[in-house]
Order: sequence, then C-alpha cells, then structure tokens
Amino acid sequence: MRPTTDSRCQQPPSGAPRATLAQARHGAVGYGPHLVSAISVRDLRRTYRSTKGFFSTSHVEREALRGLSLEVERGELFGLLGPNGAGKTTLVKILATVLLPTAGSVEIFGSDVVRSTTEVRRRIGLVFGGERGLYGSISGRDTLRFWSALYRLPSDAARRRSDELLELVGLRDRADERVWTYSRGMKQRLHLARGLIARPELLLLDEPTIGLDPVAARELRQIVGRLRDQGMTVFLTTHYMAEAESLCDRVAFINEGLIPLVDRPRVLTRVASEIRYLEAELPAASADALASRLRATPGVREVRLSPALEGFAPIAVDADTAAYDVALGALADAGAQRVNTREPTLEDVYVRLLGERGMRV
Amino acid sequence: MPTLTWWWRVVAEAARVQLRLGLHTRLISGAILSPLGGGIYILMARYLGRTDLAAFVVLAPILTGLWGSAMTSSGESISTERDEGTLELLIAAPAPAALVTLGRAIATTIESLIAIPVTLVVAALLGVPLPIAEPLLFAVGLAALVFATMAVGLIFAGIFVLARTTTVFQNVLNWPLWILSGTAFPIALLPGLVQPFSALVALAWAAAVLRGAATGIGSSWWLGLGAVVALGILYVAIAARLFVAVERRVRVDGSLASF
Amino acid sequence: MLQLGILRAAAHLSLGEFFDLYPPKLYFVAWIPRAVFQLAFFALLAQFLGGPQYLAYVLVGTTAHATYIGALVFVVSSVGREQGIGTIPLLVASPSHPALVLIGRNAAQLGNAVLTGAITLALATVVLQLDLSAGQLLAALGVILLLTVTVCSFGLLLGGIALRIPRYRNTISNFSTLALTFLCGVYVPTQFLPAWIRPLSEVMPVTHGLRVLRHAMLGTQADVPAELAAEVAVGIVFFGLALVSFRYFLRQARATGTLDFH
Repeated sequence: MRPTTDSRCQQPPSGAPRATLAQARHGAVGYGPHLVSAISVRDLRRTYRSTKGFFSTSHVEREALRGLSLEVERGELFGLLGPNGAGKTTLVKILATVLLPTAGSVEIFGSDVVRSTTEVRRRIGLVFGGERGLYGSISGRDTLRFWSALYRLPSDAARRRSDELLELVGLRDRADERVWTYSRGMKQRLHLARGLIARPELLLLDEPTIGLDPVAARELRQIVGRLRDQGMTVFLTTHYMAEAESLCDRVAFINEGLIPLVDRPRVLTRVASEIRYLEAELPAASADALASRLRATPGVREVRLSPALEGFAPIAVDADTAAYDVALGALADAGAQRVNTREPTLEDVYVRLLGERGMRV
Repeated sequence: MPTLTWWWRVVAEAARVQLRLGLHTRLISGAILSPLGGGIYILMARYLGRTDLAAFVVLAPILTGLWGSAMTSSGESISTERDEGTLELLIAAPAPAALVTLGRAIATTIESLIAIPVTLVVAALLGVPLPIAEPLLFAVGLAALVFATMAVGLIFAGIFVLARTTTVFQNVLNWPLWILSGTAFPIALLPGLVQPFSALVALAWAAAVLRGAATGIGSSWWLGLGAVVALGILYVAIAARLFVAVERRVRVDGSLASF
Repeated sequence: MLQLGILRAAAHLSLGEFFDLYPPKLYFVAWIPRAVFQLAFFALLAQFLGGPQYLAYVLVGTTAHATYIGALVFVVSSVGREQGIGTIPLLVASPSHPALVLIGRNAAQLGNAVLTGAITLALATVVLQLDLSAGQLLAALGVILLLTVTVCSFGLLLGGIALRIPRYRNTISNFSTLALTFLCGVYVPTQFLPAWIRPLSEVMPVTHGLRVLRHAMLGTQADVPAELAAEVAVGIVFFGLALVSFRYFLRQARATGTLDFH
C-alpha cells in the first residue's frame, strides 16, 4: 500500500515514540532494528575524468570521494562541514541521484540510489540553491506549479501546497512576478519551497545560506529547524562552523573526499574555545630566541616563524587558552608589533580534533 | 494519480513553461527568419523564371524550418537547462526526463508552424505562389511530419545532453539531412549510392507527399504517409531507449553541470 | 611594441575561445562539413533550377558565402561574450587602443572565414573543372581575404549595436547574414533586385569583392580597380563606425551605470 502524500513526514515513522526521536537528537545511537536509516553510505568513491589542453587526448583523474562512509538517522538534522573542494557537493549530488558513484553503496531509506532510483527520487527534496536552478522568465508560482507536476502532485493539491509553501518562505506577495526580478535571498527561498513541494522525507540542502545576508540566513535556518522538528530528516552541507553548531544534531567533517569525524556540534564549540591564534611581527634580532622560548612553553601547540622582511619576522602562535596570556606577554616583551588575535577557522578546529583522536591529517 | 494522467500533466506543464521561455526570439526566428531564409531559394527560381518549380522552392523552407526548429530548440533548451542549472534538478525529479523533453518539443513545434502561412505569403509576394491542389492530403501530410519531427527532436535532445556544446552538432546534421531528404530538389540529383538512405528519413517521405499534395501530380500517397508515421514511431522508440542510456551515462560522467 | 604584444595577447585569447567552442578535431569534423554541406545545398539547387552557367555563377557565390557563413555570428557573439564576462570595462580602462584589441579578439574568426572560403574555393574549382592559373588562384584567395576583413568589420559594427540589446544579439546576426545573401549578388545578381534596394547592395560588404572574384574565376566583366577600392572603402567605413559605436556605447553606459549589465 502506497502512502499518500499527506501522510508522509508529518509524524515520525509509525511505532517510534517521540522520545526516541529526542534521544537520537541528543546523541543516542539510533532507533530499534525495525527502522531503516535515512541515509546509509558505505565506502563511497567517486572519480572524475577530464581532458587536458587543446590537442591532447590524455585524461586527468580526480578522486573527489575516497571510500567515505556515513549513517544518518531518520529525523536528524545532519550537517556536513568542510572546506571548498572537499567533496560536499559531490556527495550531495550522489545522494540526490544526479551523480553515480564510482564504487561503494548508497542507500536512502533502504533503497539503493543506483538500482532503485525512482523510489529514492520520490522521497527526497533538493535545495541546491544559488542563482542557478530556476527559470528566470516564469513566476515563482508557475515554478512551483511546474515542479509539482514533475513530483506527481494532483493539480488542486499542488495549488494548495504552493500557497502553503509560498506563505512559509515569505514569497506570497511576489509569487506572481518573474523569478529574474527576485533578489538572491528570494531565489533561495523559492529553492527551498521547490524542494519541499512533495513533502519529502529527506531534504538535501547544499550550502543553503551561501551568499545570503545574516538576516536572511537566520530566517532560512529557522525554517529548516522547524522542518526537522516536524519529523523531516535534513542533510545539509556548509562551510560555516557557526551554522553547523547552531542547527545540527550531528556534524560530520569532510576533507579531501573522506569523513574522518562525526560528532555533536558541542564538540566543535569546545575545541574552538580552546584554541587561540596570535599573529605578530618580531624584530629580526630577537625572533629566533623568542620562538624557541615559546615552543618550550607548556600549552603552546605550534610556533611558525617566517623569514624576516625589512627587519621584521612574521610569527604565528597556536596556543591553548591557558597559555594565551603567557604567549601574549612574551611577545609584548620582545617588542612585537602588529599583534593580532584571530578566531579559529574550520581548518584549525578540524586539525585540532584529528590531533585529539590521534589521527593524522 | 494514475500514471498516464501524470505523464500527460508533465508533458503539458513542460510545454507551458517552454512557451514562456525565450518566446520572443523564437517567434522571430520561426516566423520571420525561417521563411526569409527560404526566400532566397524562391528568389533564385524567380530569377530563372522557373515558377513551375514552386512546389520545391516554397515547400523547402517549410520543411527545413519545421525540422530545424525541432533540432535547434531541443539542442538549445538542453544547453539552456545546463547553464541555468535546472538540468540536474530535472534529472533528480521522479518524472521521466523524456516526458519533459517531449513537452518542450511539442511547444516548439507549435511555434514553428507559424512559419507556414508566413512562407506562403512571402512566396506569393515574391511572385512564386504555391498552389495546393489537394488540401486534405496536405494537412494530413503536415500532421504526420509534425509527429515525426517531434520524435526526432527527442532523439537529438538525448544526444545533445552528451555534447559539451550543442550548437556545434545541431548545425552539422541539418544540411546533410536536408540534402538527403530532397527538401528543395529531387533526390534523383544525389549520387546513386546515397539515395537509398533517404528512405530512413521521415522528412524525405513527407517532402514527396507534400509536393504531391501541392501539385496534384502523383498517386498512392498512402505509402508515403505510412512511412512518415512508421518512422516517427521508430524514432520515439529510439528516443526512449536513448534517454535511459543517456541519463545513465551522464550520471556516470558527472557531466550534467556546466563548466 | 606594446601594441603588438596586445594584439598577440588578444589573438591568443580569441583562439582559445574559438578552440573552446570548436576544438581542432571538431573543427574539421563539424564546422567545415557543415559549411560545405550548406553550400552544396545551394549548388545542387542551382543545378536543378538552372543550367551549367547558373551553376558556375552560384558556385563562385558560395565561395563568397563561405566567408561570412559563420563570421557574422561568431564576431557578434564574441563581442557579446566580452560584455557577458564583464571585460568591456576592463578594456576601456586599459592603456591599449580598442581597435587593436578588437582586431586581435577576432583573429580566430578571421582565420576561420579565410579557411572556410579557401576550402570552398578549392571545391568550386574542382567541381567546375576550372583551369585557373596560379595568378588567378592567388587573386581569388586575395579577394577572399579582403572579404573576410570587410565582413568582420561589418560584424564588429553589429556587435557594437547588439551591446545595447543583448537579447536580440542572435537575431541581429542571423538577420544580417540573411541580408548579405539576398543583397550582395551571391545567388541572384544585384541587377535583378528592385531598383530601390540596389543602393543598399552597393554599400554592403561582399558585393564589390564578389564581382572581382567572379572576374578572377569565370572571366566575367568587372571594373577591378574600382570594385576593389569600393570593397576596401566599405570595410574601412564599417570599422570606423564600429569604433564609434563602441565609444558611444561605453560613454552612455558609464553615464547610466550599466557598463556590466547584460
């Protein structure tokens, strides 16, 4: 018996009490054996081939994903965090059935993305976002009308659903204007509405807040959070640590085609707060001596000294919070100039986390 | 929603969207450029005083225009989709991509039909009017050709997804096909080795039927009509197989997104 | 020497762009056959409609047609692409003379037009079994070269106009290609056209050069020095107009703030 579109995703899967959802959200390992994961990825590999130059026939191969594994439970808001080029978009495209894996297995609600493509496509919604992916010369409402047909919604249900979604994303007033008149933020909201048109059980978002101003970004996050609260599984990619922290139940780090870390966002905050970066310029004469002293100081993780330019050597110090004051004092005493503290970046947190777990980058 | 109703809805919606996209430029090209392009053939006939060959030179732009616009719009719509980033979203939707393309093809074919009355008027103005001795046969022949043209558009849309730029290919194939199909001159002018191949092209059969309907010369057009329809059905079958294969190939290569 | 460097750099860019659209393998597999087939279509039609004399007339016409068969579309779209990628303001701000950059940027188009024309010339000579001396062949090639230059200047002017109405860029280039085919005596003599349109033919590129080409290949009557001078003049005027058009466009765009708008 096929579920109707209305019954999908408004309640958690039958048989699972709300408590289990909440448990999953706060780090418990998952549901009972009768429930299938939303996303199950095992040893996923993806290689791209491209030709070089005008006249050559030789190929360049690029391994975007290198044997990656991942499990996302139903009802989770799962974040994939990583720098550009790490493989986030490749992974999302494979999940969306738009790209085929080179090796490995990917299942969405138990259906293989390669063998049971139609089944998967019925149940997912995509928000790939940005300026692209929309037909500029039709209206927002017509956009939803078109896609609802492709997702097999009957006409009246489609109309109701479009109205509902346009209201949800705040585009009701501009719904009948052509998409090329929309601002970036509005287009993104239309993308979201489009992704939700068929009440998907799994929503895939690829960098949904990129290019949005902070207010628009926050609004979008709020909507996404509410969707998760209503029982939708959400998988989003981002390179903003703050976004991952504020929104996600769990976060995975992706770097160079692999996922070495999956954990709760609290972990990120903790690590981020433990690191301090100092940058300064030291007079060339005292630079080496000070660098050695700092390296010997407990709590100083790393000191990087660069060659002197015009009498001053740039120095960068990674220190634990505890050692921060000591390091700062030492720099000041040595006559350092242009002293600057910066916030840890995604890379920094990532490297630090790997180090803690005894892994190498 | 039953499957056939759903398919019909997809086709209708795709046609609706297509009609809105780039409408002005296509109307101009279909309604004006195509007939004008044919105008040069008509002018040539007029210069030589060969108004008796009207059936050839006036029908030529109609035939090539129909065929050409099916190719151009299936090619262009694919490259526009790719550029706009909607191609991926289309593949990701549960509706078969072939249906969306079919909707598009229907819309563009309807637009290209506008070229027909325009061409007839241009021909009359240039002094080479086209008689239509058997209007019913003409209409039926045209309908059959429209069906086959849309089917061909489907095939090429499938092929164009694989090409990095479509403008290259859509022009390469047009002119040889128009020569092979005897759109402006009899197939008898072509080298003997080449002539049998025109039997595979629906356009060739349709050209003969339509010329016969215009001049009233010739008979047993049912063979010709039957060939056009049969070939159209064959093209649809090829396109269906092709789409499955193309989608798979494209997902393997990862070449859906534009670069 | 700086100017030469600019020219070379622009030409290199142009070739790169062209090869992007038509990688060398594809050029000979796709573009050349496409041009040849289009021209063969006209040749076969000519043979069908008229006699061998008309065929000869048309085959020389196709040689000229070959030079502009893609040139206008390519040139106009390359200007458009410049606008699309936002480099026009950069060009304006640079110290080089825009004329040089424009010539360089269209180097590939010029080369393409000459090559297509030369190949068609060869085919026409073979089909007609013409017995041309080396001098005649060289003259024909020279005319082809001249035609490509005048056609490309025309294309630049059109490109400049199209900057203001980018949505109609393709329409403009397609229409003008068609106009050349009608007006320049390519397939139908200019004398056959209505009297009121003939002055327009005389100011188009190709018209005069084509008469010289027919003289070189078929021995038909033509006032060679006058026609050559006219063709050159047409090319210069169009190039000048193109430059003016660009400057005007840029000045206007700077005023209205739409320099990047496309």
